Amino acid sequence: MDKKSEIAMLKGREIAQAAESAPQATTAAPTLAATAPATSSPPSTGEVPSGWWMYHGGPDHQGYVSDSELNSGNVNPTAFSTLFTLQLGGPILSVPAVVDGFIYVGIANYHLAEGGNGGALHKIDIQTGETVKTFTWNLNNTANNIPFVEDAHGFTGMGCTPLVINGRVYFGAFNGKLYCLNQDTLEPDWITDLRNEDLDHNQPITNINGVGVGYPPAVIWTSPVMSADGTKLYVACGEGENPQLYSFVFCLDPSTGKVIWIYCTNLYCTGEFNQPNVLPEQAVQALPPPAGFSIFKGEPMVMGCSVWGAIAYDEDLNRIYCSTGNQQPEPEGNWSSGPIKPELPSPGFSNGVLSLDAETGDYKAFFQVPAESNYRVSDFDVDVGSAPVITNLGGEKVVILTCKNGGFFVLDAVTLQLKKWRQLLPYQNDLTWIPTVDQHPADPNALNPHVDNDESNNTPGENFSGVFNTTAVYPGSADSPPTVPPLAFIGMGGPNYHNASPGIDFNSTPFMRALDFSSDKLGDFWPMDKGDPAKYLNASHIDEANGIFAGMYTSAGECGLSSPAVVNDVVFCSTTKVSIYAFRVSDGTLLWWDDLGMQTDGLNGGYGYCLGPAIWKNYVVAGALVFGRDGGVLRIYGPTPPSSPPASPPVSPPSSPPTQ
Amino acid sequence: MAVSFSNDIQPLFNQFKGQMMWRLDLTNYDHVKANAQIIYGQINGGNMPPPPFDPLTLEQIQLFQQWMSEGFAP
Repeated sequence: MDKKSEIAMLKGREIAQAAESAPQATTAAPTLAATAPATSSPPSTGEVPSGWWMYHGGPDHQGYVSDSELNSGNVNPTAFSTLFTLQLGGPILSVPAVVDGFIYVGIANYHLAEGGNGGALHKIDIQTGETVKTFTWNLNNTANNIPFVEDAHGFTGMGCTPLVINGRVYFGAFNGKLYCLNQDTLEPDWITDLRNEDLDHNQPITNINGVGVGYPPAVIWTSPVMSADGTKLYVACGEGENPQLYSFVFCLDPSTGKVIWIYCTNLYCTGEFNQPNVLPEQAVQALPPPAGFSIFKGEPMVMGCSVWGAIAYDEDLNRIYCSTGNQQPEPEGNWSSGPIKPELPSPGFSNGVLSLDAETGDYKAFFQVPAESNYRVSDFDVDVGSAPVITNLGGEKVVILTCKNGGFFVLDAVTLQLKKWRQLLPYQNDLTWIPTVDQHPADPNALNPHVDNDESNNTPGENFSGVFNTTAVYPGSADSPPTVPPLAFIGMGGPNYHNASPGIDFNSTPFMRALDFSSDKLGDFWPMDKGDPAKYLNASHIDEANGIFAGMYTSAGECGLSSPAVVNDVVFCSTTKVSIYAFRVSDGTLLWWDDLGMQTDGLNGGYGYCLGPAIWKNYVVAGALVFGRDGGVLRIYGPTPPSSPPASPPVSPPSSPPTQ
Repeated sequence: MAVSFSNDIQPLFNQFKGQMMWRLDLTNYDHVKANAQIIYGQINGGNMPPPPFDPLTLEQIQLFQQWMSEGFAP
């Protein structure tokens, strides 16, 4: 069967399945609804909401939830199922927030925006699946005579998890604006532009260099985070794919949107750390700048170094932690002849994590991933796209960092000194590379290339098989001595639409690792077979209900692009297939899985992501970008309602016009 | 003969609708008009449609260009 026929057959099957599961009533409630009351009352000032109120569940980004009845005994195909399938007017490129019984989820490329160029934030009742409020915006960005522009990846809406606290919803968008909405009404309280100067909000930066000649604009990918006393809001804005742009960390007043301090992550001078509020001359149009800011004249020693992942915050140390991307320009041009020159160490605050004083923005520490942590010496465009995770290990506060080069790092939270690390991509048992892992074909246009280790090691290339997501932490079992130590769960693999690497090498690479976080070697905790390379024993099985071989090592190219989430003794992981899985924390047994949809057709596989999940009480929520009429889907999972069929999809197309 | 969206462009793009809905609706006049330059760059540069679809023919690309130059007739 040729590819087109196969697709046609699959489409037909999808249509038939959709017809069988025609929309049902929209009011199905989970069995355990009594334990998950919904309320529209916002938390009082200073009260930290429970559940998934911000990116990865809290400012430390551990991604662990314990106030839930979900566990390995009730997350199974019988007791746990789809409650609602929602189409919300476009693809979902972010993990939702869930607070007080309501889901807050952003849309990228909202269909009802002008020309499909804009975004939306929906507020959805988690118990009914009803969209109760929608805030939308058109891109409509003509500031500085630059017409609308997408982000570097073709998106125009938003791609971060909202922060929902103190009666407000905070989020950043691909138009470079930071929004603060009323939690009840989704009416804007304030909007601060972080791309173009916004002097009403004490924001003097205009960061648009290169956009007029085709480079992507500065955008906000990072999810906002707030200080413990509620007086400061942290977010980053930049674009690492534009060699002319600067990258900044902003600290704002959550009540007014006014900027308190700004830190430029492009190191100005060798041997001297940048000071907060010293701004590059080319990024400030209003001279002299507002009081409190000063100007650095000249060119920084390095561009790029953009903050992609959510900023982490630690109250005890009064620090924020910002992971950084690669430098610009990339050095691959230097590799046109002669032996491979490793990208690392790279200049400035690139490819690592930067720690700043949360009060003042003063520099505190920086860590850059070491060259020896690359899977191949020829890896470039290393990037740290994940968010730092702050946790305790043996009584010490540490920062966990993961990297596109496949590295997993444990750092001292004060000094950012490296305590231990390991490479997460597999090797053969004799410690040699696996040819099909992190391939670098000499012919960049080759489809499904098959190259040997020599070719990959001598051809500079991006590692598409490393880690693009944030680690989830299981704190260890409560028994004494604990039978399960603290564990770290990390999704493996990145984009699946490149010629060279349409996903991870599924024969050798698990789409999620489970590490014994307390062990010196950070070894795999789940039982493994005796193969070469060794694989998790329990992470796949043949589904008794339909005969499908499901789980890890079963689907070509399937990546754990998104960040895992842990609830009690269950870890959820979503993938590019586009699917979501639940595994038992203690041994990796596949407990449950669901397909959210199909990938679109792409260069050699296709676009398709499930980003999430978010966990609140007994509910699990995941959004995705999938093939189909809407381009996206949101699923709400929970305990199977008694005597009613699972999967009641109240397709709820958006109806409100753009308002902003 | 003037090129129109409903008669010429929408039928041309209809087969790709499902794949492109993550970005925009190729069968929606307003979406295609608003993003015409981007779309033209993609089809003219050979990036779109992606495999396994065959590239658009030169005549089809010229048809889209003509639709743009004639003022995006509905």
